[in-house]
Amino acid sequence: MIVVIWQYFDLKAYQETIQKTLFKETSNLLTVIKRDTWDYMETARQYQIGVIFKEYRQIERIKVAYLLDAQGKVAYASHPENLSPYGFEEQIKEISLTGKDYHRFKPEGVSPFLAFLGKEEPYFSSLTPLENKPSCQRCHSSGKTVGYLGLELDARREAEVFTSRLKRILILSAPFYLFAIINIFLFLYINVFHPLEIVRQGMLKVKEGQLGLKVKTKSIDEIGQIAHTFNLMSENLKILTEELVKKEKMAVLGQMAAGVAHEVRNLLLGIKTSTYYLRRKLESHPELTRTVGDIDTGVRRAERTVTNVLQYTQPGELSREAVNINQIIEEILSSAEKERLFTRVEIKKNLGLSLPLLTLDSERLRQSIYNLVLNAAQAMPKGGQLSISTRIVANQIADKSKFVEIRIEDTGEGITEENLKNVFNPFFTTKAKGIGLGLTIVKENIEKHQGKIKVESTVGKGTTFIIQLPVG
Amino acid sequence: MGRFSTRTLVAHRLFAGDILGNEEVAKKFLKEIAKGTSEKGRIRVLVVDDEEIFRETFAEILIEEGYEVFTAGSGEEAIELAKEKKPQVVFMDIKLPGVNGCEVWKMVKKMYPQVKGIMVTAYSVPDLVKEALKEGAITCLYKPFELPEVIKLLKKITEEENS
Repeated sequence: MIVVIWQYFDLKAYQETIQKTLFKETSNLLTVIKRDTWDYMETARQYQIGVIFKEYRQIERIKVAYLLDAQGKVAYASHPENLSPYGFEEQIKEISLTGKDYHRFKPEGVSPFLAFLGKEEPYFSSLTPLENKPSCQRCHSSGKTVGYLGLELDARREAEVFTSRLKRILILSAPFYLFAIINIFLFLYINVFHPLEIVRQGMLKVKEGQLGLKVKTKSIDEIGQIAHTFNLMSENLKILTEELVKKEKMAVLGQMAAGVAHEVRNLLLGIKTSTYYLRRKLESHPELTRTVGDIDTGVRRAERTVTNVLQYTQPGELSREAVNINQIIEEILSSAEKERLFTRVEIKKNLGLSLPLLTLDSERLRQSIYNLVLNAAQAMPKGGQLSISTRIVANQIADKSKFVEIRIEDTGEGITEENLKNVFNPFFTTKAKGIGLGLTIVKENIEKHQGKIKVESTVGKGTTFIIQLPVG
Repeated sequence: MGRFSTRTLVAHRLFAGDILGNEEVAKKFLKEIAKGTSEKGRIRVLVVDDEEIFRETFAEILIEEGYEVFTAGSGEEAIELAKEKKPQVVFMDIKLPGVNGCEVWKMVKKMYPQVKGIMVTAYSVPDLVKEALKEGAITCLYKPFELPEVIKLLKKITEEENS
């Protein structure tokens, strides 16, 4: 770019030099002609003027030299065939307006030397007035001027020099221009066209359904921004679509679950009412009471499954109230102990004293702890120890906020590292029983209460679930 | 009246008892019928639920607990029965075929402002529950509820009634 500008100014300066030289040359010649003309006029040898003008034909550079009378009519001309067919009125007008000589390059335009571009040959045109001196008044009566002396100088040679120089410059710098163009193209290709193509390909892929696709580009900031924005858009699209699909899935599942739940709960109530009735009638048959108890256990498990599914598909709002966690745990344990599953499980309680009341959804908390207690018992089919403890803990590191910690510990078979990552995922189960929603709901419930849940496990030793619920 | 009113159910059970040769059961029901017709001072309970197994067994249990029980399987039946029997306590399933339990409860409450209502539902219908509670129902039980607790609750309500 700089080179192009430099070359342009260089050429322009060169052109000006030529113009100045031409101007000087024309002025000199005009002075000579003027002096000759004066000489013959003053010595009243006008007839000699025609002769001398014919002699000017021999000067190569002169296109035409001519003498006009006061009215602008041609009196003498060296090359009458080269005279402008349009007359000289314009030039005379300009002289009378400005009071100066007329000097002009023809053809007029950007540069008279770029002759090869146009059809007209370049020349330098001058016109100077002849003053009406006292000595002239013998013959020329009035007016400021007695006539005009004109000279047109051929500039073909200068034009040729100029164009050859221009050509030389162009030819010499051609490789450089080529190199520059290739560089610009490469720059554009690497930084603009190629990245844009990558983004376009990415867009096509997203269109075809590859949501969340990301493109990698090495490019200038603006294009990089586009790629970055595209990546953000793609990712967001993926998240939104997944959310939408999940929402729709949940809506359908929720509807189905609600229908099933209604039906099953009604039936379960029927069975429960019947077992209650039976139990009263069977007071005298203790061996059958146990069987009725088993029906009740089955009913309770079915009840839990329905509640889990319903809660997973229809999370709903929390209905908070002041809750005594220890009391809830006592209730859960006393009810669990009656179940056959817990017959070989030794329950150890270590409930912290004077725990604060927490504002929680008691039903959800009950369900969560129950799920964990049940899980622990199921992990110990050959029996073992279930420890459940509560305590108040203060956050040592940050804001010293307090929370209640519940630990539910079993001495069961433990969870492998691989499975440990998935325990909270919906429908993940390693058990023959259950549908894999229990822990998912526990986690959702705890997190809804701004709490945290952690699981630690050693295969063959046991598993510990740690819940932390914020106080206040 | 419902397809299975207490009476027809008792007759049905009697028949079943005969077939199975369980005289003890048959005798107990005969005794209950006699009790039902002779004692007048018992609290009248209306059980409205479209689930037959629950409704009739629950009625049975309540009769044994000493209440006078009427059962209905739909809202329309319930209103007819309420007009006739003047119940003091109503067990009302919210989801019923035809008129919903909340509307039925409102009508019954209008008939007998002193009546006590216990709403029952199998899944969360928060708007209807809220409305029923606003219209004077005592509580809402979620199926499948625990029978001993419900019996306790009923006793508490009726004790308040008597005192």
